[in-house]
Amino acid sequence: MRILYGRSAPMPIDRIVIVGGGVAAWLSALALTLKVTGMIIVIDTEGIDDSLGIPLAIEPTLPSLADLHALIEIDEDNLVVQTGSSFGLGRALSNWGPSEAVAFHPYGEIGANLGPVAFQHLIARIRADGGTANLANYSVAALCAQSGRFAPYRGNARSVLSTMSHGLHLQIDRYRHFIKNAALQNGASVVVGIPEEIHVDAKNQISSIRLSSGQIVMGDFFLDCSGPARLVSGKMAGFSFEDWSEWLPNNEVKQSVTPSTAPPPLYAHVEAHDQGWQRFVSCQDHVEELFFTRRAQMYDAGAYTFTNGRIRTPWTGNCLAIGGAAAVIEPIASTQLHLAASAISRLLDLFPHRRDSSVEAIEYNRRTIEQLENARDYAILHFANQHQSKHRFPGRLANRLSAYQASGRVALYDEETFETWDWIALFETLGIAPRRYDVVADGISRGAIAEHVERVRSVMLTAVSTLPTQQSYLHTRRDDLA
Amino acid sequence: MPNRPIENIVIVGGGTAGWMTAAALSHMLSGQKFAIQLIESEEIGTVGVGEATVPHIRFFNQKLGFNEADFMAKTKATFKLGIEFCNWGRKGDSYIHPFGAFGESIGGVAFHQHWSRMHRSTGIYPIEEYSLPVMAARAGRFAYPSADPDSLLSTYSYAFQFDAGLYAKYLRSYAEARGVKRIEGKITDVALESESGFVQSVQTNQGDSISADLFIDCSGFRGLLIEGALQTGYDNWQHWLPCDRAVAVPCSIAGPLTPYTRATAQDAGWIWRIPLQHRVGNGHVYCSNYISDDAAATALLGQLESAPLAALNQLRFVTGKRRKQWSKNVVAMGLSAGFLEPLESTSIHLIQLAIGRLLEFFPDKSWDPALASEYNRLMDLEYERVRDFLILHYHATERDDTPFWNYVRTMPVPDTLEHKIEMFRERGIVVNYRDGMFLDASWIAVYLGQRIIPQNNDPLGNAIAEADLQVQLERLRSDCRAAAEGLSSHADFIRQIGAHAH
Repeated sequence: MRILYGRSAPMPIDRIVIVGGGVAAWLSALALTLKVTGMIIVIDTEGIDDSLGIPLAIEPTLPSLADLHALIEIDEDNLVVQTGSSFGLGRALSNWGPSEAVAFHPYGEIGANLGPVAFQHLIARIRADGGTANLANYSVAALCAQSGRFAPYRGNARSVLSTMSHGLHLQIDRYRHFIKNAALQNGASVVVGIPEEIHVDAKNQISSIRLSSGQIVMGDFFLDCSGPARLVSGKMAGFSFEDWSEWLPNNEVKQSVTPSTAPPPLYAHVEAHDQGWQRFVSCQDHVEELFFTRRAQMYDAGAYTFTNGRIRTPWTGNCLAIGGAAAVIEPIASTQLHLAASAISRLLDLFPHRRDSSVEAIEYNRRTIEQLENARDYAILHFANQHQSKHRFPGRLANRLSAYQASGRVALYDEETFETWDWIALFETLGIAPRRYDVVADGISRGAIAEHVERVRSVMLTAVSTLPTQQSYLHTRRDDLA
Repeated sequence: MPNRPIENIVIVGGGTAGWMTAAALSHMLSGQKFAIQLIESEEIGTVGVGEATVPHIRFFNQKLGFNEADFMAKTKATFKLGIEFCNWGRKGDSYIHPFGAFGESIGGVAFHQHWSRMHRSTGIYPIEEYSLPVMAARAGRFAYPSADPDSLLSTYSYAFQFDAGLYAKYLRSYAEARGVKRIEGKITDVALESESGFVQSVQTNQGDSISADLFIDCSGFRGLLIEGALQTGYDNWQHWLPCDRAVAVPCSIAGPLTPYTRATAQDAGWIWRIPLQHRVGNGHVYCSNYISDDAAATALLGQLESAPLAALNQLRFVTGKRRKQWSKNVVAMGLSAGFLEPLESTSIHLIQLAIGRLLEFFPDKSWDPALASEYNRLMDLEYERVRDFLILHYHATERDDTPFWNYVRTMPVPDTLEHKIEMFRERGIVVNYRDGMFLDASWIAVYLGQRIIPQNNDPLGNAIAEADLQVQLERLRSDCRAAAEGLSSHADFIRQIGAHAH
């Protein structure tokens, strides 16, 4: 993807200042050093890294992060080995629906169409005929997660293994070091300090930031990656925050991280409780346990508090908020790093052609707000069976639900984080079933459907059995890369 | 699972919409206990303006199992690589909107960004010279696209231009062979259930009373059921798309067989030219506020390449969309669902889409309202996005030579379109959405073809030096030219694959 030969024309924006110093800041810095000419200066505010929204020790990422990693030339195998991270293939979900069985939300596709009929309708038909079928039994990612076997698939689309997608269980501290080093090597510079004063002109353009040390940092364009503190975006004219507590009332998380040498599961475990939810996720040498809840009367000193919501205008003037500065969505569906990474990709797609340009910001904000609201709705849906459900769903989510219940078809909108199978897996987890299935499925005999799903499963099982365990794959890669 | 499955489906109206629906349902629902009947009258002609198509039609044909050469021979079809637009941005302009992209991204930055940068700095050839399908179309040549993604021949798709009347016949024999029962008759009355207001039955001039669970209204502009009986209402879009009449006439082919459709802007509308194997379809779409029927007919006849083969066929319409395309137990398809002029050959595609969606949201006798509501939401989006794309053709003009062009050039356009145009004009940003049939390449073709040239380009593209860019662009341009020249002539290709009418 890197071109960059010959003479470069001067860039209209020469100095980009990034405020934060967490993962959001360094990932932005790394991408910009690779793709944009000009100076990249990071004002490192140090301290706890809540640049993505909620500070986590291990971030279970969605498969889409690989797109940004490819763009900025990060080899994910090397990253996993260097940072003691591991791979992730989905989420185990317990206590979210009427069933006591643990449900699984796998990454990638589930099953395979039979002629024109999509797989979920075949399963619905089997159930309508009195049979039972669990979608996760027809997902390569779920079968891998169950058996502990995994190796990233890099072959062609003809193998059933290509239907699997994977994310990472990233050790955030080491990931930050990894991308910070890469950004510094690529020419980013760093100033340690806390912004004390933002100099904004009458046209809502920042000219410089004064740090508490007195140092003044000038810039043409500013990224606010300071997390919910919003050290820069919060100072812009017209700043306001849209609070989503009405639908997502949790506002406190307690965290514990313990060392572990056990082989890490290939999935995060997300469990519903009366008072909130709990998540367990492992990487090569640690396990992190999180407990999200709505703050009790008594303030708990050991907890991190937050408010779900977004700022109304992520990009205003020459200031763009990325990560937790733009929005906080409790990480029930592991969206934090995905949202930051896609914000960075979107910035590269809509890079301002001059300092005071507004055209890119208008389109950037339109796409971003669509994306944030869709991701928020996916988070809200988790609580459909809990006390929060007494709050009415936002309109678009209500339509998704009623369209799915009526037809078994998932309504999708612009800028989705989650595609058809992700929504179906969650609906299934919650015990929300469609009232009908694809009419065309009735034209296929029971026997043909049974044979098809059995064949899908056996092809998948055979393919999965050829894979190494994750542990042995990691050992091999460690040796290769050593 | 449907508790009370539908048993009887009646399609009201033959023509392209009716027979496409009958053929698709008879195929997709085969082996099930549906009785599908289609009522049409030999006396009522069909509107056959939808003779030019978009590539999606190939998936429809494939799904039904048609042999392409056989289908082409029977419908006297030609291949279509795009549409040539003449006199739209300015009088004397010509550009082709191809079924394919222009160039490819360089250094992660879209091709049109580089093109517009060079356009502003040193000047550059028209963007069509960087598109193989446009070069092939201009040269009157055709070949199937290649499956090899590294080949320049993989950069395009194709559609057909065919005789819609013959296509309806072709579909009719297919549907009848799969059990669809055709009933001759004109609808004289519609009976509604008193409580629900659902359509219960239709009466014909042959004395038949035909009842059904689901009615599909393919009766054309009038919308006999959706409007005539159910009074669903119509969103009028004439303030954006003011053309309201058309006059059509075929003639024989006088020139080479072009693998593209032509749309030539007139004083108060535009004239289509659609070359088939045996004749050329011509028509003039115009706005009756600005030109008389006689003058419109004279303009059309004056531009025919040969003597007319039939009498003039006069049509009237109101651009817009039925407020609900699915209301109660009636689903409207084709012209009864809405009318968007055939400037981008969208009519047949919208029918195809409606059929697919109806199958996805197929009702049972419980008539779950969420089915119709989601169906309508999705169809509304499609119609609105096609609408915006059509409006762009009129609005993006410098023409000020007639009152018609002055009106469309200065009229307020929908906010969604305003935003899109602004983004492209300012910085070459292509705004697009998940739903909507026209992809980035189509929007770029029309923007640039009608002189909306980005005033600024993607700054990330500046990382490539102009001299280097020029070398790459020149290579692409000569590759497109060479590849186009290597193809067979369109007429020869049709013969080679045995798709010529016997």
